[in-house]
Amino acid sequence: MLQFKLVLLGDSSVGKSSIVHRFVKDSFDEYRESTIGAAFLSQTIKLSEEYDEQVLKFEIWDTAGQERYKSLAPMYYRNANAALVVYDVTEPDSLPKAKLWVDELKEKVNDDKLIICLVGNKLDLVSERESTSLVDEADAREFAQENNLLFHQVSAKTGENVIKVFQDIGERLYLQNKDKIQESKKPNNNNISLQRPSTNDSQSCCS
Amino acid sequence: MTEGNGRWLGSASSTGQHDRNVEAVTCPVCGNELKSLRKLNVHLDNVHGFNDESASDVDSSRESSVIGLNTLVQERTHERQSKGKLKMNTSHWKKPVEGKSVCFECGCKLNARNGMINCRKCGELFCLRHCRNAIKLNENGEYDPASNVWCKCCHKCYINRKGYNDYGLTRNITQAFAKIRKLKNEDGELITLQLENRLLRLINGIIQLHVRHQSSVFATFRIRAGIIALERSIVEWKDDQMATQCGICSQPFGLLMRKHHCRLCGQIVCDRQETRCSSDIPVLNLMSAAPDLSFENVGNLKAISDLSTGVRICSSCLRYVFAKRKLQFSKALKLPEILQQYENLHNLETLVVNLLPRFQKALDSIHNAPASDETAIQNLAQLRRKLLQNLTLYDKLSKSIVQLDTKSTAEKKIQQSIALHASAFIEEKMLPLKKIPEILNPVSQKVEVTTSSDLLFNNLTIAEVKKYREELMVLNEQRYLVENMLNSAAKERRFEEAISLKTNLSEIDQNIVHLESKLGDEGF
Repeated sequence: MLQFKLVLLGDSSVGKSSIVHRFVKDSFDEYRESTIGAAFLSQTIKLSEEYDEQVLKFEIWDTAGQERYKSLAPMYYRNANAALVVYDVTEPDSLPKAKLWVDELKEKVNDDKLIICLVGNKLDLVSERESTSLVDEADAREFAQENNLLFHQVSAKTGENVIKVFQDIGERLYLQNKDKIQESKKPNNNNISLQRPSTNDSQSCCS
Repeated sequence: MTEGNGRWLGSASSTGQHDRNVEAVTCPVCGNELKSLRKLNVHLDNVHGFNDESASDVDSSRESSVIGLNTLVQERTHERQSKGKLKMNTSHWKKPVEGKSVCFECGCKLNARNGMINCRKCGELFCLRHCRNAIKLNENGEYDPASNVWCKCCHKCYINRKGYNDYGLTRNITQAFAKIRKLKNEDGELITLQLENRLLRLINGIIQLHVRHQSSVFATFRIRAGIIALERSIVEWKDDQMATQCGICSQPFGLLMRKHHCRLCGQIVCDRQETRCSSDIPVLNLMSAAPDLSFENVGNLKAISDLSTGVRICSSCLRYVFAKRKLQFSKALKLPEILQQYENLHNLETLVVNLLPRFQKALDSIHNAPASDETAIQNLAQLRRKLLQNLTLYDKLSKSIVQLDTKSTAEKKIQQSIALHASAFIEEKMLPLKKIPEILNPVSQKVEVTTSSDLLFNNLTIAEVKKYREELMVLNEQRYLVENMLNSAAKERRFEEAISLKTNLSEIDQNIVHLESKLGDEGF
């Protein structure tokens, strides 16, 4: 099974942990406490038929958004295969922060293989709010396109689109590592045959 | 034995000196030359018949004095043998040489004053001071605990004997203690739980009674009666007749020492002011003292002040239920500002006290080497600057403490004491700092140059140090978290996760080491 390291970044209280918990445990907690340091979770997904029904495992590092823990982030986005940069669609200040994270990733990691996905969370709150207090979707989408990022809007509360984000990333990762996957599939020599060798006619004690 | 030796050694020394002073004498009667005065005496006695009583007395004492310690001991062992004790083999004993032998331990010349004793075991010669120990030896001079002869021996033989243990037997009973303590604590917790439940039922019952009867005309009587019934139902009261003394302080009951029942344990106790074996505590106070227990809501009671009904509780129950709560409560309390400030002040003080010896050392090294190198001077300058900064901060803090408003005379006194202490401290610690410019004038000029830049602490600015410290703290926190995650992952047999976590842990460790090396002395 292929393992991929995925890291979540973003301003505090945009819902990083909620997205992860929706994805890993399919649960939502209205009053989640803010993350301390970085939490580690893992979840496997199965890709669709187009992608050979490949099973992938995500090792997810859910970092804390608070400024205090910012120094921890580099340790986790270094060597990551994918990064989820989360912002809050109902909090206009959170998008610039997300952009800063994207810039930092591009600058520090500087790896074309790193898949970055811009995720707008709390989509369920959009209908309640006035449009002026919302993040402009077009703005975010444009930024994502410019920087060659994946872009999704999700709701961790209702679960809308959450799985899709990870499926999407999984597919990209699959395409990226296609050669490796196929290579590992072809030779089947690593398996141990549990069958008893048939030519066992040496002297046995009871013959 | 010592007494015997002393007497003998005393006379030996006197004759020895005599012998040395008069090396050769001639006999006044026959003119023969004799080697010593003693020999002359013997010669006079034997040949010329001067053998009177007094002379023979002297003679015998001298005679015995010549024999020497070892012969004496032999004699003594002879004596012992005659008493049925064993004879000691003395062949390995070193022979004393008058005036030349030295103590094997301290090297002092052996003479009559400090004694001259063979260690019975190793046979070396010692002065009295270094041959004080006694061990049991057998006839071959070997250690034998079964032997019943105590012999003098030197310290070395004493501590080298088999089974010697200077510190006695040590045995670690921490675990046993922890076990007992755990059991005891568990018992205590159970009792606490039981008492808490009783308290909860009692108070809730009282509240319910108040609620039920609050509109009644005979409220007081009904409630009183209800409470008495309730109290009896919570815990069985001990029999009054049997109790002759208080269950806690063991004072006999009497006319002035009334019997009281603890409403939580049923024990019969007294109500003395001095011991406070039991006290009548208002319900409301009890409720506020244990806010974590789920008491019934008193909001719907007309007059909460009615709840002034007391509950008699003995001191041991009080301790069980409230001691821990009280501790937590007082822990949670914020210190008064003056004490908070004092804590800061104290921290600064320890910092300065720790820095000063380093500073002094650096100063000394420069002082001793006149051609001092640049780095040493810079180091000294840094230290001095740091000290000065800390002291100014200290000064500021102490002044701000003095300016705080005080609420009581006690606080006022504390404030004054702190101010006094602070000024004394500054004066004392500033003195060596003031001295340097006088001692090392050229150096101090250089100091000014180097310290004018704001480079500090291992070439880090204060802001940087703060930042790195914060990062280090965060990393340590994260390390703790990841360690826990790793443990739980290993417990739940999620090994793939454990591997990832392990790599992360080592990464964190690397970062911690890196940061610590950056911070150097300025770490925690």
